[in-house]
Amino acid sequence: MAQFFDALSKLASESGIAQFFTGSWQNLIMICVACFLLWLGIKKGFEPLLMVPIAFGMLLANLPGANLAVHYHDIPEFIQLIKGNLVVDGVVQQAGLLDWLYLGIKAGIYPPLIFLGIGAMTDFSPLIARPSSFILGAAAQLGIFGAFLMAMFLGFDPQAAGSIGIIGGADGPTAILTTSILKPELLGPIAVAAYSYMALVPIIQPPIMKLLTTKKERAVVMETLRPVSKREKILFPIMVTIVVALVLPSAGVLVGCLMLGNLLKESGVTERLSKMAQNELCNIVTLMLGLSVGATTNGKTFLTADTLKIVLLGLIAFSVGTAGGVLFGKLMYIVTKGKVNPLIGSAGVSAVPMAARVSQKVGQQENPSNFLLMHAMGPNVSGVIGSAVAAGVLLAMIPHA
Amino acid sequence: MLLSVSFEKIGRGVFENPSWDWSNTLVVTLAGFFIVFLVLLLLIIVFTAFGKIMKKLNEKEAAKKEKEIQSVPSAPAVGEVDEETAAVIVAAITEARGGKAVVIKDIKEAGK
Repeated sequence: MAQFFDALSKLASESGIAQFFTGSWQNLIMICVACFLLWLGIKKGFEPLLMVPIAFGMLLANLPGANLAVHYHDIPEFIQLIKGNLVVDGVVQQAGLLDWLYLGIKAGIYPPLIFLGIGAMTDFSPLIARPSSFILGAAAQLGIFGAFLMAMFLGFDPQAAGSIGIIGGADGPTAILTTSILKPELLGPIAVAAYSYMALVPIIQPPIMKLLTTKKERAVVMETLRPVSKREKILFPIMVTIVVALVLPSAGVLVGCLMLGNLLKESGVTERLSKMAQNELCNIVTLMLGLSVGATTNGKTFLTADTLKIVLLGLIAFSVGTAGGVLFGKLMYIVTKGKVNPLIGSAGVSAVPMAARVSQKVGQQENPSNFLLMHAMGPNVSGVIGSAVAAGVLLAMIPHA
Repeated sequence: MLLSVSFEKIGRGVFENPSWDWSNTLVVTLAGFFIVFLVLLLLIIVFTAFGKIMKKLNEKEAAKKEKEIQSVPSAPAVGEVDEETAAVIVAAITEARGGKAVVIKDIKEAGK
């Protein structure tokens, strides 16, 4: 127990808030300046296409501990890198196309860029209208930590166990980013498992949802969500970025990019950038990410017993996450005296919007006139934030190079 | 000490010591899930409060707008005006009513 509190207090001492009091007060002023520039760009229309990204970049760079500011590297090191000489098994080889593309994964560039695109495609209104949905997004992350524990039992090292656990977040880019940092050699099997289970959401989730709920619970019709104003939609990404990155700096990069994409969409003044992030950027990065991940799966490292264990643990992670969401949905059903349909909890595993559609489908099997989709979108988008936070927690707690 | 935190630069992780035992595993599992919960709980608190403030603000703005609309006369003032002027007046009333359609009767009234 002492270790538990020790770990918590040490994480707290490394939070961005704590760093404001230990010499990072200038960052606080810069955050205010960034918010002012955002206001100028969005509200006053001052060169929004440049002002909004610049101001948000300023915001990210000044979140203490998130390590998102640009560092000025020594030029000679870059020259060495540009030469493209790779030492493979003691032999110097020229780096090829896929080696270069892989740098985007190794350097943690692709997943945040995909998050930027996802943010630009996501409507957070259901979550803003019902903030209690955040709890379902948290509950569904139970699968991550459950799978971590089981992987440790099966003899994986902590880095591998953390990478396997993140499959339960049902979020491809998050799984890839976490694995590329903790255990890059498992990138292939973990990416394949994560994306396979995301595609199998409509098959994996319904039996668990039905098993854990009664007919009466599944038939609950929820109240219509309140309308959300444009101002709320604009302030939401800025506030989430500040809160999450200050409390857990290691989650700053994923959450920050997700929210920047969303701000580009909701601000209404950067439509060109928003469309670019949703389409061209997301498509190009997805292609490069897919190619690079695929290129890591050579037979020697992929065809092992560990891959089978990873696939099995991924399924467990996904199932436990779904169960965690539904069980907390049941808790909300009890607390609200039957106003919340527990089926929306399963959408907390992320996998947007597939998991929300599954909630809608299972709900309609009991009550054909019931429309749960918008209600399930709240936990669903909360799950995206939740899995990014869980990845940040794993990166903060598990030692890595 | 197993739990000596070192988040410095890139080499991060709560457990600086490379030796790993089951207590570390349990701490990562329990504290990890607890922190995820805590962060999202914090977001619930922040956005519940934020939602209440925004709701009040929206209501206040709606009331202000309604008051402005009410203060605009629905029919033009006295005197005779031509059709063109009447159309301009009606367009102004329409805009002031927040885009609400003005019936043709108003034009006739405005034209008087």
